[in-house]
Order: sequence, then C-alpha cells, then structure tokens
Amino acid sequence: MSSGLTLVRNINMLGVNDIDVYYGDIQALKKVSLRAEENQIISMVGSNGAGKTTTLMTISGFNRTTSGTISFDELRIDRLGPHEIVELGLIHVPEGRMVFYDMTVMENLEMGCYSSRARKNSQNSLKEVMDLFPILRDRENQLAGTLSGGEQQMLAIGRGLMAQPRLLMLDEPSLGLAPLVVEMIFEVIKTIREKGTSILLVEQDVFHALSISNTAYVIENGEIVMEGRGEEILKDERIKEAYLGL
Amino acid sequence: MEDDEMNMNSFFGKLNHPKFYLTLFSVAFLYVIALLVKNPFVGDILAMTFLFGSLSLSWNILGGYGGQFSLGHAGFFGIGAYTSTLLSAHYHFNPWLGMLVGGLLAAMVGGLVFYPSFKLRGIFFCLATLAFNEVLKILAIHFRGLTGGAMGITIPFKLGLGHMMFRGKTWYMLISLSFMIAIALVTYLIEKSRFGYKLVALREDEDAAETLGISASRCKLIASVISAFFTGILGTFYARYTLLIDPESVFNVMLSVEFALLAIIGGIGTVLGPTLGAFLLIPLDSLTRGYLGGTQQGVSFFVYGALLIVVVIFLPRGIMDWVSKPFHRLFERLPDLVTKPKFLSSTEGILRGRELVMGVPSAPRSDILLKIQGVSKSFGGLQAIKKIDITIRRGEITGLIGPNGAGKTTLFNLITGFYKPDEGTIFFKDEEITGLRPPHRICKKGIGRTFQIVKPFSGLTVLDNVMAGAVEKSPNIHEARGEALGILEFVGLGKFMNLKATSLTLGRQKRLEFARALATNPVLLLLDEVMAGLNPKEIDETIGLIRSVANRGVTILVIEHVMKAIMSLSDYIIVIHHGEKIFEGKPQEVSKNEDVIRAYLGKEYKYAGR
Repeated sequence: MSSGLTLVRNINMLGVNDIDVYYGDIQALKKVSLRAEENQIISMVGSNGAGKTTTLMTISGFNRTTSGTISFDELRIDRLGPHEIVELGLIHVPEGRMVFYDMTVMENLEMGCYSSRARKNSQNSLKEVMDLFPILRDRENQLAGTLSGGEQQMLAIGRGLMAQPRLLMLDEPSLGLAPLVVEMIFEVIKTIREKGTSILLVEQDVFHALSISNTAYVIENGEIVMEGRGEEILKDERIKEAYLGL
Repeated sequence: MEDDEMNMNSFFGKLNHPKFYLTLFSVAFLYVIALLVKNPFVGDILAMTFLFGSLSLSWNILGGYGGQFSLGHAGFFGIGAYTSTLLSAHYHFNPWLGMLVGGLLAAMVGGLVFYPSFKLRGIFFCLATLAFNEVLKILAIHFRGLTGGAMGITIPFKLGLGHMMFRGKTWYMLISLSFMIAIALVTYLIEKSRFGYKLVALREDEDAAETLGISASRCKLIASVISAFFTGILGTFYARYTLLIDPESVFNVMLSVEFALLAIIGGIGTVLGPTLGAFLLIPLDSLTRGYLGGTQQGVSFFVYGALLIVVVIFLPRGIMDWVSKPFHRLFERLPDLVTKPKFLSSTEGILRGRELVMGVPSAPRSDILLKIQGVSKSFGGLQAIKKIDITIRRGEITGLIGPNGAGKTTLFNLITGFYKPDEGTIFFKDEEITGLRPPHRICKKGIGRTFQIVKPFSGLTVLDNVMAGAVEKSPNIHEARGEALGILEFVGLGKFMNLKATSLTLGRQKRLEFARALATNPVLLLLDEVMAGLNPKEIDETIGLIRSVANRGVTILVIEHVMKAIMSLSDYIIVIHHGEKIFEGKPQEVSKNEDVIRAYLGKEYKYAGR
C-alpha cells in the first residue's frame, strides 16, 4: 500500500469531515460531513444536482477536496487514487451500472476482484455472489451488454461484492428498474448488511431508501441540511413536502 | 430578459463589438505585414503559412465541424493542382478559371467518393479516405501520357496576374492571405447557420441528431463538397507557386495528415484554430529546416517532432482552448459601443417555444394515430418482439410497461426507424411507415423521441442541445434559439442553459432530452424513462410537464417504471413481457391483473405505489 497514508483518530469506519469540492468555479460540496459505521445502511437523499453523486465520487477518489478530510478505518484517504481506495475495501457501484458491455458476466465479476486483497478469496466471493443472484449463474457466459437492465444492475452490485467490500457505496441501484426488480434489489441490500458489509446508499426512491436505513442524510445545494435515523426523517413534515411530494 | 435579446441586430451594429473590430484590426495587420515583407525567405514562410492555414480551415469544415476525420484531402488538393495545370498546358486555360474548374471537380469527386463512405464510422471512414488518397496518387503515376507520371509537370513561368505568377513573394502572400480570410469567413458563417448547428449536432451524436430530423448523410455531403471545393482551389495556387507538380508532392498522404494536424493542434471545430495551428507549426517547420537542414540532416525533424509533442502534452485540446478564456476576458474589458448582445433570439421564437410546452388546449379527438399490427423483430436467435398489435389514439397518454428486457425500447426503435421490423406493419396518421429509414424521415412525419440511455450532444451547451432540436424546422437561427429558450424556461432548465450538457445530473439530462424532442414539435412523442433518477417531488413536476404538453394535443407514449407516474398519467396502459403484449386496459385494471402482478409489479405493489 502507498506510503502516503497518514493515521487519523477516528472511531467511525468512514468519516467525511467538512469537505469542500469545486467543479471549476462552482462549489459542489460545502462543508459536507458524514459518518458510516459497521453493519449499517446509511442513505443520502436530495434533489437532482444536490451533490449526492459528487459526494460518492469524492469518497472514492475521483474528485479532489479543497478542504476537509476523509478517513476510512483511521486512514486518511482523501489524497489517494481510486485504485488505492479500492484496495482498502471501500467499493463504489456507480450510477447507471457501467458494466463492461463487451465482456461476459463471468469476466465482469472477475474484474471485480482485481485488487490483490480481493483476489485471494475470489472463489468464495464468487459463490456468495452467485447465491445472492442465481440469475447470474445462468448468464455466466453471456455478454454483459445483452443483459436486461435489472440483470445489469445485479451484475454491477455483484462485481462490487467481488471486491470484498467493508463498505459498499451504491449510487441509485433502482434506476430504471421494474417494480418487481426494485423490491428484489432492496431485499439484497438488506442481506448484504446482514452479512456484515456496511452500505452507503444514494437513492431517488426516497421512501424505500429511508425505510431500510439506520442513518440518513438529506443534502441540498451541496450542504447537509438534516441527519437522523431513517424512520425519523421519513416522518419529518418538511421531507414529506420536499422529496416525497405528499 | 427582453432587453438582452436583440431582435434584429444589424450587421453594422455588430461592428461595435470588440470581437469584430479586433478581427478587422488583425486582418489589416496581416495585410500590412504581407505588403512590408521583402525578404524572400520570410515571404515564402508567410505564403506557406497562409496556404496551409487555408487548407487546414477547409479540412476543418468536414473534419472539425462534421466530425468526419478525412485523411484523403490531399486527393482534392492534387485534383485541383492537376486540373488547372493540364487545362492551361493543353487548352491554354486561364489559371483563375482553371482554379475554379479544379475546385468544382474536387467538390464533385468529394461528393461522389465520400457519400458512400459516410456509412463507415470513426476509424473506418478515416481508412477509406486514406485509400482514396493513395488510389489517386497511383492513378496520377500510372497515366503517364496525361499527367507526366512520376516525373510530374513543369509549369512554364509567365509573369502577370492573369497567369497567377509574380516576381517576389508579395502577391503570393496577398493571394494566400485573402483565401485564408475568405475561408475563415465561410467557416464563421457556417458555424452561425442552421446548417452549422446540424453538422455539429450529428458530430456529437448521430443517432440523436437523426431523431431530431437532421439528415446525417445530407449534411455530411454538403460539408464534404464545400471542404473539397476549397481544397481543390488551393491546389491551383500551390501549382502556380511552385511551378512543378508531381504525384509525390500534391497527392502525398503526409499532406492530408498535416491538414488535420494543424487543425487539431490549433483547435478542432473552431474558426480560428486551424489558422493558429498553421501560424505555430509552418514557420517552425520552415525555420528548423532552414537553419538545421543543411548541416545536420534530420535534426530539423527531431526539433519539429519534439515541439509537437510538447504542444500536444500541454495543450491537449488545442491552442484555442488555451487562448479563448483570456480573449473573452479581453473582450469584456474593451469598449463595446452599443449594447452587448449575449445571443440573438427572436421574440416570436420564444413565444413559440413556450407554446410547445404550455400551449392552448386543443379539442379532444380520438381517431387512431399510430397502429402497429403483427410486428416482430429478432436479433440473432433472440425474438425481441413477437407479433405485437398496438393502437395509440390521438390526444391520449399511453403507458408502456413491462419487465426490464421485455422489448419496450426495441418497440421504440422499430417505430422511429432505427430497426426494420421482420414482419408486420406500422401506420402513422393512415400512412404506412413500416421500415421507413433513416430516423430523420420519421421525425419529419411528426414523431419525436427520447433515449433511455441519454444521448446528449456532450460538447454543446444545454441551450445548443435544444436548439439542435429546433433548427430543422425553424426559418432561421434566431427563431430556433428563441424556441429553445422558451422551452428551457418552462422545463426548469433555464438557469443551466450555458452549461455543458454533460455537466448536468442524469435526472436533468433526461429532462434535457425531453426538451430537445419537444423542440421538434412532434405530433407523437415517445418518452423512454424520462423520470429515472428523479425523486418523488421531481417526478410530480415532470408529470405536470407531460400533462401540459399532452393538453396541447400532443399524443404521448411513455415507458416508465415509476408506477405512481404511470398510474396517474396514463389514459391507457399496455403491458409487454418477453416481447408479447400480455395486457392492455385502464390503469385501475392493470394493477389488479394477476399476470401483470406476477410478471412485473410484484405482490408488494401497493407498497411501491406510495
């Protein structure tokens, strides 16, 4: 691992502390702070353009912060590259699936355990993923580009799990999926937590997301405006008004 | 807002803008330089710089704006050079007339040869043009009787403007500079025209441009004809300047590469870029060769190559990208004698744009607008659509739902001319449109669509994206811009209009697709998951938007997985599964149907409907 790692005191698994992120002249994140602990589902909700995806992209090393720190397991990660962050077991399943279209399902999954940390246990991980998504076993030799949207999403999550995450970040896993498949994906998310992996979830299906979350953050215009337990936020009148349209 | 939008800003009004008087000043400056330089070495460098600037500008019309990366332009250059030279040698043609004939011949060949090559995309088009270039060179070597073969043709020196031959370099500089300015002006006019918008749109995404009614093959054809014409004309100038042409010098593939290279280094798809590229590289090339060529063979190439690498590393998007910001800052500081028009747009256009979203409710009609009968489509062994029958009534919102991979998007592609049905018929307004292709012809009939996987014109701003939807049917560019503004204002993207389309979130890109499709003023609008990536509140807004468009009398077919939206929007719902229609009926009936619940909604549906 890189020698650039510095130790920071932090009891949380993931600690995002007062980060600022800019896109050119535009400030995308303003003093954003989040925590994630073991065995939890943490969700982030907010309008389009509020900064949810930007937050995930920053945690996984694609954007640079101008101030603030990000730590994972007491290591400071905000100056590491995406591939180094993956090695730590912090895995990002991006918005829009982004599977490798011209590779088979199996090859996609194998790419998931590319990191040296995950490679050792690849056979175990593969079995777990196949048990979670039996359909992927049937499709093993099919090109990922020929899968349906739901199957691609399962593959994307499966590929993320192959990396043996300690924290899995899911960006809109329900995007464009049929109701039946949405139900299934949310069930899978709960199962993943039960197996000991924490989840940081960004989701537009606010109702669903909040009802399974231990902790939730509401983000508006790049700022965290509310945080609390999932059910509490779901009951909040302002949230009902602003995001659920009730 | 109204004050910023200059309706009919006269040409002379524009002269007061710093961009214009600075351009005029620079042009005058170049003419003065051309008149003052008497040193033949410097004169030669300048004449070559202006010539290659012109050539690169010509290439840029097709390669930069049209995105068709030609490596065959030396072919046109050679055609021009040989045509005028042979005409004056055999028929005593005036070289100016020969120049015109050479240009026209190059344009004709360009159209005929490139047109079939447009089917090839990306690197394959590039290879085809490269082959074209080589073939011409071989032909020129082979037909010795006509062309003088590999030895080439020597052009006798006859002094005078009529012969396009002069003592000293001054006249050559003036002529090549004038060509450069003329071609830059043509490029500028293209850029600001409806044609220019179409060309850039199809460069950014051909499929998306086609669904907006833009004919890709027609636009590329026009661009290649213009581009080949100018390149051919410049061939004559080169022949008169060097007095010797041979296949190796005028049909050289390295020339084709150089035309492209100058534009890329300078800034591809811009008016000034190719000229800047020429100003940087041509003198550099000449100087390194002049000072290092004699004593140290090959060193000049080394220096030239090294500098090229430096430029590419530090200015990967070209010199233009690097200088445009400071230029704009300068423009803002310089005095502007009249108002500062941000952009030109017509008020009628804006009103029409608003109308497209919030128009007067039209009287309900219920005749059949779209009738799909027994349509099937297979891909290899997979039957994606099986003998499907669908009827869409005018003025209704029809919901199309089904599991992922059921064939919903395939159905859209069959209607809009991306796929041809294996069997069955599709009628639109009582007219058969089965297998009518390419997609722009479907758009012209009045069918607009969005894409499930968004296809924004990524290099363009939000405003330009929507304008690309409006240009095909608008009488002029100002009206198209107005319409785009009117639409953007209503769909809530107004404040993002000057941002690049790709900087929008996915949810907003979906809305941009909706706005762009609306700009084509469709009779039937096909929406493919425009609500994905929106939160419940934003979904409500979009429902309102779709309703208001439907109220105008636009018929809408919508694919969506957000059941709340489908249930509240649709007059009628069609459910497909494994390429077959398994149910159709009113929304209330759909949610109770056992087949639909099993295949699509799931037992938990009441939950998802919240």
